[in-house]
Amino acid sequence: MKLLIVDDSLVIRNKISRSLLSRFAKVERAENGRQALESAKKELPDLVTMDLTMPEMGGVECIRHMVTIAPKAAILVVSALSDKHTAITALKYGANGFLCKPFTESDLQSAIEQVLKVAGQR
Amino acid sequence: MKDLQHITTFLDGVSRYFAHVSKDRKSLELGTPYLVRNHEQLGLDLTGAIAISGKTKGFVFFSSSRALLKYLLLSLGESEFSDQYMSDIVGEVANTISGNVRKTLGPEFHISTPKVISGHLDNDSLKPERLSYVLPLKWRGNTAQLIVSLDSIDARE
Repeated sequence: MKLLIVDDSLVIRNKISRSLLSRFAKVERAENGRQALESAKKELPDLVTMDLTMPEMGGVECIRHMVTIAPKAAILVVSALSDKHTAITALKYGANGFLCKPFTESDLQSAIEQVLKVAGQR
Repeated sequence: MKDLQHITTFLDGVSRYFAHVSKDRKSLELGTPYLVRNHEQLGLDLTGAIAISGKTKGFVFFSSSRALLKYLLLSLGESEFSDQYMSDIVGEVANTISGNVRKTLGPEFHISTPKVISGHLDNDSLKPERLSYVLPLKWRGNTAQLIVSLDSIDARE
């Protein structure tokens, strides 16, 4: 399986990568939505972790395009934006789950299991 | 009362963040918040600045000593402490604490991506006509501040 990590924070990209490296054959990283779409066109990821507040292109706009570029990808939003409205908006545009920052490795693993289940990839 | 709600929300956010990264609540010492006019020089070694827009306008800053940021990076599994990593983590803390308050303050509390400032805060961010609440803290003995500088903050409250 292929993973695409989208987050403008290097430390968060590293943290997600370390937590999930053993589970995925290939891990790609993107710093913003625009880079994420370029990567998704080439790699067709199975799972995408998506930050929302990013420069150049934010997560909500990226999700809207991502679902047409990589329709089989499960999308887990990993964001500090903790209100229900944000979570519902992300889900409406095609995300499969939502994890609020800060998160532990265990939180991330559980959320990944859940979105893969929801997206029917297990 | 509105400001009191804001400050309490931010205090809760800071406590939650550091409890989360250190797995305990004892390593964080919260000081007493105080109000300042923006004439004073504010800002420790590095500051993550988040611009707030929507119904409320202003800035939220997480300003930190490099020592605290080094411990934060260690707790997140990093072993590199270059300026790139220090800037990244100070911005991420500011982003996380600001983003988390939307659970209480609602989706009209819009946050920007972080800008990182070295040393004292500049006048572009810390406008002289605004007041700011400074929430001093120590984590594992190292100093940081959360500075909340919003249009709604009123010295009469």
